[in-house]
Amino acid sequence: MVQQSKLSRRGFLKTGTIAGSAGLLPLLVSGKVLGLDGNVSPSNKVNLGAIGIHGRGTHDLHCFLNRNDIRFRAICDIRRVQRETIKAEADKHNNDTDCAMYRDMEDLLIRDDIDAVLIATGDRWHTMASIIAARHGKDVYCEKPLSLTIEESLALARAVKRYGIIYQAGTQRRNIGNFQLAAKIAQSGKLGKLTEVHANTLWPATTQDWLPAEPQPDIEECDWDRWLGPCPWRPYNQQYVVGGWRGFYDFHGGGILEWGSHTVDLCQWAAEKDQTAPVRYEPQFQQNGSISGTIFAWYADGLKLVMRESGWLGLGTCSARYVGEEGWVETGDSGRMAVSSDALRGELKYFGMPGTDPITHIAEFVECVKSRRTPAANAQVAANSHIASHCAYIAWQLGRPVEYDPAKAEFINDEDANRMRSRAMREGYIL
Amino acid sequence: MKKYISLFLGVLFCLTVSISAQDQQSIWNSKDESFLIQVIEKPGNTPDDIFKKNLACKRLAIIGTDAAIPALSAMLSDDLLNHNARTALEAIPGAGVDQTLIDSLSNLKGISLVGVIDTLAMRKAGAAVLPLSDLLSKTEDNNVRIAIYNAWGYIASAEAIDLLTAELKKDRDPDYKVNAALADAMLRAAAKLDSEGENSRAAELCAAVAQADLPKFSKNGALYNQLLYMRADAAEKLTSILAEGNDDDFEVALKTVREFSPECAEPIVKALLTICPALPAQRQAALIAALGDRTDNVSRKLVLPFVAEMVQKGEADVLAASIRALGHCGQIDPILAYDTLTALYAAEKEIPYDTLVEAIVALPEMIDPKPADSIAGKTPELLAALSDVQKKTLLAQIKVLELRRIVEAAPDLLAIANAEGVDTQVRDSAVAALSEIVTLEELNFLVSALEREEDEAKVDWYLRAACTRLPREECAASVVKMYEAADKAGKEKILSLLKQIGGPTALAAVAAAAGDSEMADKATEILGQWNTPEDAAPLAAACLKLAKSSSKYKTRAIRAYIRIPRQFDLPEDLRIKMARVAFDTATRPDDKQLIFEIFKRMITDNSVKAAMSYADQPEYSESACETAVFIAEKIKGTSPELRNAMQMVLETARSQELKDRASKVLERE
Repeated sequence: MVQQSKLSRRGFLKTGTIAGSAGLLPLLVSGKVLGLDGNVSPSNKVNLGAIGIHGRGTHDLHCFLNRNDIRFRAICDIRRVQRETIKAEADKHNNDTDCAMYRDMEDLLIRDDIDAVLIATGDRWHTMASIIAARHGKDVYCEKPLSLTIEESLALARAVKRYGIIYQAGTQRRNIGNFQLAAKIAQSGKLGKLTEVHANTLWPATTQDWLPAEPQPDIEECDWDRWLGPCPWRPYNQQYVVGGWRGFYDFHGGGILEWGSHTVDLCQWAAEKDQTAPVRYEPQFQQNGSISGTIFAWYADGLKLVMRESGWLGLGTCSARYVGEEGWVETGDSGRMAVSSDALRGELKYFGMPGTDPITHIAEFVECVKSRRTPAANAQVAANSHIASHCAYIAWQLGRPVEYDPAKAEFINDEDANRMRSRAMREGYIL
Repeated sequence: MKKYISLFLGVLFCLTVSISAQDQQSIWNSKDESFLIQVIEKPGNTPDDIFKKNLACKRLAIIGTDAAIPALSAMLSDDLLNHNARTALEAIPGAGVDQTLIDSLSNLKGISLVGVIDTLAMRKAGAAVLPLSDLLSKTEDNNVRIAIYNAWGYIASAEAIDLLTAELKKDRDPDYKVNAALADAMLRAAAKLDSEGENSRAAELCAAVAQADLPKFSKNGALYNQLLYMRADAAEKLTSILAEGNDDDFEVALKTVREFSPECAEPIVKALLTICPALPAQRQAALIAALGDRTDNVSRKLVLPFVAEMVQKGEADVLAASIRALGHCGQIDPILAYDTLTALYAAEKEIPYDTLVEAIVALPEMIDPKPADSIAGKTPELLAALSDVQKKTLLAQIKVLELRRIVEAAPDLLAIANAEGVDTQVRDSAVAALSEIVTLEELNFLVSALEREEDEAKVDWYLRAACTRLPREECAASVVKMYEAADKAGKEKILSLLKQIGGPTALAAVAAAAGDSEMADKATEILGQWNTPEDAAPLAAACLKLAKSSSKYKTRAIRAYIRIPRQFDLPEDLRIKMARVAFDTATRPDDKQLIFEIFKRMITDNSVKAAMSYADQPEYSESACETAVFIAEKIKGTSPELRNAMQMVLETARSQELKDRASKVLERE
């Protein structure tokens, strides 16, 4: 394959108006920014591959495919039916038959005509696939959560740094208007000194259960060993493969991480704590002594982070609330916002975009691939917010407070918690 | 990685994991290391055995000590159990584990050997460096070689780095994965050196990788880190690459421009600004964009005057990048930046207007654009005869006023919106800006501007934009007045707008509309979607009143009522009380069933008890049991009340699955 000039292929600065890391809001979300207008020459397109595309990944992929500066070239999936489904869709979109199919991601990643990959496997593969892609010099857009453990979070950030790639975690709310405005209000001082930030999370628990064994399909139909990847072996059951892996400890980080990867991240951002994590975590207990799903955490400067399931204003899923000495703001996936006073209400805007839509987040990623700018949900900030969720889940599992040193990446005088920072991987998988 | 598949394929078809919940709990919750050791020492390789051993090893990972090492190390040579053993061994601290793993190197092969080396890597076991060197000299297995390189990279001791450096000097392997692993290990070791303050040594390691015959992506990573580790000394190399390097290297170097620490910014930024004017336009634009993204004041002070000059003479991409950089660096001297940017309005040439607007809006709020500087005094004649450039300029000026919410602009925007013969895009822009600017007193400005708007979606959007930010109760009162004067279609839209505004004034109006036969359909729908929790009490009263008085809308009203305790965060006792009221008021079984969703939102003993209070009603008994089990499963621990409820489920439920789940709750500690 002919190696084209990356400079010409990526077309630096062909889109120049999207929000930057310098704090600009994407106030002008035009068709051009979203890659929907005009013609782009083949040499200025970003060449994309995808790994593990199912429900949410399909939605992401459509956002990429609808951009005229993307050329989708290859799909990797452990299931034949998915490979063929995505190829059919891509070929129809591209009006050719060129989309290549792979069962093993390294066969896709070694291609030098692919610039970036969309990773939307199950959670268990997010870190490993991203690191393997980084080791092949590919830019990565990866669905959340980026990791299942503290060590995975750190390893991913290190790998991204080792190869200087562009990494965007699929925490799209960083590029959605109402969440951006809520963060801006919190950072502006209009709430007074920030005292609490609240993140909408789900019930934390996972199970150690195994589903009953079923006959294992042919490797070409479904590569079960590769599906498991770095996780402990267990017998095949189709339910895992078609999306029923959630809730199993080996494959899933639990309810705090499920939404906390978004909402704790939002809180860290609003509180300007992107470079750190809380230092103390305390699960809440109910009057009868049983543990609730709420976790309290505190940053080194005393700011309180509350991770809770309930008590929200009904502004949509993945809500976040920022509380200061002089007021509060809350928002969620509906796009609506609520504030504590009419004075703050004057700061609001009407947004019509749901918090689940990744289109602007993907637009920022593509712009960063071209310009080499670091995106909003980069590996380092995403790692820190994920670490906060992991620490909270560890405290919940232990049923007691834990103290964490973000600089050393270790719990303080707490061997039990420290041993829960990582999980050994199967042979041949290393972070 | 096919080991398990081939071994198990023949036997799995008829097996299930049948370990009892009690067995599982006893292992997972065990604090007795000797019991866990017994579990892993028990012979057997069936899925049930592996399941138990997997659980025991996960538990030993947390509580295991040196006492567990012999039993765990005995599992290492079994391909089926190697990972389980390492799950515990990787986490148990101390030199004893390291030595055991090192001792096992000579007894293992293939994938189990790779696993043990991986674990030594994760443990950063310095004592393994030389034994791994010995192993490397003997092995022909590339997976083992890769694992050894990984381990040396993780450990990154002086010995390990010397060994990696020596490997780099040898001939390359035909397998790119081996070479990539070696490079990765070198880069990992370099990162460790840099973190320990040895940045020069780290840069040397990266330079060695960058110059070696290795995959291009490895060399790119090496160059990227080499430049960053060189700190201020990188200026010369960086300028050379940006000016003369190939496109790949240019791209790598460009990324570092944004990332150098502020301490070394001055010499680097100065050097880059010196070469920038001589670069080809595309590289110039990319470099200016990167420099403009730097956030330290040292860089911004240097970059601002440079880009202010480039804005005057740059074209196309260079101009766009310079405008954007002015917006970013503008806070160093906002007046200079503002004057330079707004001077472009008069440029009478094609400029990237979106970028210009973003840049002006990014400037500190102390710089407020004045309507008189842009839109004031635009006569209808002028508006009707805009050239293309003048139109784009005006649109940009209006957008700035909108985004910065310049309140004084409202009369001028209204004049533009109402001018005869004005371009549609300009008119739309003025109305959109009005919706973001008008005060409560000026809401009629917006309404009058919208009278000529035929697109109802736009009208809806603009009204919502205004009502989102105006004082709530006063705004609601104004909108209620609009409601009174509207026709039926208009009233329906206004009811939706009132839902968005929320609060008591809006709710009272919607509740009143629910009693109006002509508007009841829409109003009751809106009541079911009401989403301001502070309105819970009057909302509940309105819904209950309707449920009792209206036969046509009874179901809708009762469901709206149930939604309140289900969705809003009310005190637990109030939610339970409302659930009971809903049950007693509802007449349809489907509606009554919905109260169990309220209980499921409260993970407490009280909600279990409340749910089970319906277990004696045959039609709802199964739902009551299912709800109680659902909640109980989420509660950690079991109180006497909870145990009683689960016992009742065992006696009442018809579903065996529910009984099994209740038993599982009773079995836990």
